Amino acid sequence: MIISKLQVEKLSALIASCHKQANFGKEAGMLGIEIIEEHLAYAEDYFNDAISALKYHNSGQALVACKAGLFQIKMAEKIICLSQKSGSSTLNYLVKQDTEKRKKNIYENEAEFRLEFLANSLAEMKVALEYSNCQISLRAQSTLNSAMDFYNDSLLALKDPDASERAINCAKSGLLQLNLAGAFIVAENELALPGWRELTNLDIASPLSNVDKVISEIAQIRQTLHQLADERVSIENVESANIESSTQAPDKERRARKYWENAYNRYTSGISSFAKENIQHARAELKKAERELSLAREILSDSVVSEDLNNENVLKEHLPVSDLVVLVEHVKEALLSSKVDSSTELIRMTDRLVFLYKKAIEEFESGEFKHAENSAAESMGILKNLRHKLFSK
Amino acid sequence: MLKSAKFSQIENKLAQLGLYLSLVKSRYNSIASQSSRMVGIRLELVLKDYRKACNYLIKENFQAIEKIILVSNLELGFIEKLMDAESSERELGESNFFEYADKRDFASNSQRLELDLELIELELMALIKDSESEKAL
Repeated sequence: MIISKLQVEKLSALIASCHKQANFGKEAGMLGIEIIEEHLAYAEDYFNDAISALKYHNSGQALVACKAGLFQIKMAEKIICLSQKSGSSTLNYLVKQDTEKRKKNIYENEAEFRLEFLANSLAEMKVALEYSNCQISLRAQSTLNSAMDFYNDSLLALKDPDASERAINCAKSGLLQLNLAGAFIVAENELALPGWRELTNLDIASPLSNVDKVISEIAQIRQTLHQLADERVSIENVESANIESSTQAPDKERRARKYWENAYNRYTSGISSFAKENIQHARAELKKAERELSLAREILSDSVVSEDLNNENVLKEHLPVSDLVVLVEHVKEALLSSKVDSSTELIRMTDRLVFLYKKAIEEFESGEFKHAENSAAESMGILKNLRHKLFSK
Repeated sequence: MLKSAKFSQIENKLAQLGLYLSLVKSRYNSIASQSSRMVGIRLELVLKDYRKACNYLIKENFQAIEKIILVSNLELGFIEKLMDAESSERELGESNFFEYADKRDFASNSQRLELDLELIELELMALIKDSESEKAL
């Protein structure tokens, strides 16, 4: 089909007509102007493309540009019409539709419902944190960020027609993380978060059972450990409290902390598997987390110590304060997604950092403390270098 | 005929989304200087998705458009909730907004990266101290 200059110029006339309508609407306070003007701007670009194409006798390209331009005009007209139909109460019109949908409790699917619930909870938590001005530890911040990641993952999964179950599980995982973060913050600050309703609906965790108890215990035992450490160091730097006191902490505390860290890592791994629809692995990890927590509880309560505890020797064991290997994976993901310069070199550095760290742990456990110290120091050197490359400009 | 009807239906839904997006954007523009980063970033991403959906409509990729419309509506609802959540801070004249880190935002990703590096440093320091102590014994 051949298109003539006259036809292309008709497009220009249509754009002008639409602009006129939009300007009238703007003066009358019509809503949606920004999007309308964007569509018209695109239409003008396509019009210019069509004129250029005709100049070089490229009728085919001119036709394509014209069609694209017409589409943009049509969208602009539709939005003008919609805005005019609902008049000054455009927002009310949209809200009314939404409310009616909710009254009938019609969601396109369960995933939409779960995601909206998570969105409400994320907003509630934000209000609670801003209003209370409470302190948020590194661990709690990390858990809150994780909840946001699950929300984003759930949204992404919703775009995929075959990933509805994953969208649901990601939304549930996000709620569980939010619950855990809330428990951490409440315990750390010894206050209730205003407006934050703890998630007591067990359905959010199904088909995982007892996860709410695991969350509660993780927060409680952590708080007990911090209170014990607080007797020796300032509470201000709760994460580093164990650094200052790791060598002076009583054996009981060190052992309980070890089990707590294991439980926390198992829980995190379980939630991650749950989001990826690996329910079996999630359940297994949570069971292990429960076991580790019960061991920690036994130690802290000075109750009868079980066989497992009697048989272990933790005196020559390093007490991890964070899961370095998992954290380095996060760093690598961040480097890849943000496309920083020389990310390949930086990722090689992170691999070397982990290698030296694992070497240091092995050397420590074999009693080679001098070598362990050297390997850990070398790993620290790489970390400092990495930081320098990333953040100094 | 059926194709035309479907096209019109999707076109109408997309126009509704466009209007909703414009409303939320207008609201955001009036408070942008007193808003958290993540609200602005999330809104930009919805706008990108909306443009993508318009391109899909030209190609008649209806399934992809419907998914984008669903997700964008949910996301706009979330953005409105975030703006509502921040209204108290604005009314009090404070701008101490809590930000959830978002991997899609470079600045937020940087903060998360710093947080992770800090935790890594804590662990390495702990290991060095433990090794020093055991060596001394």
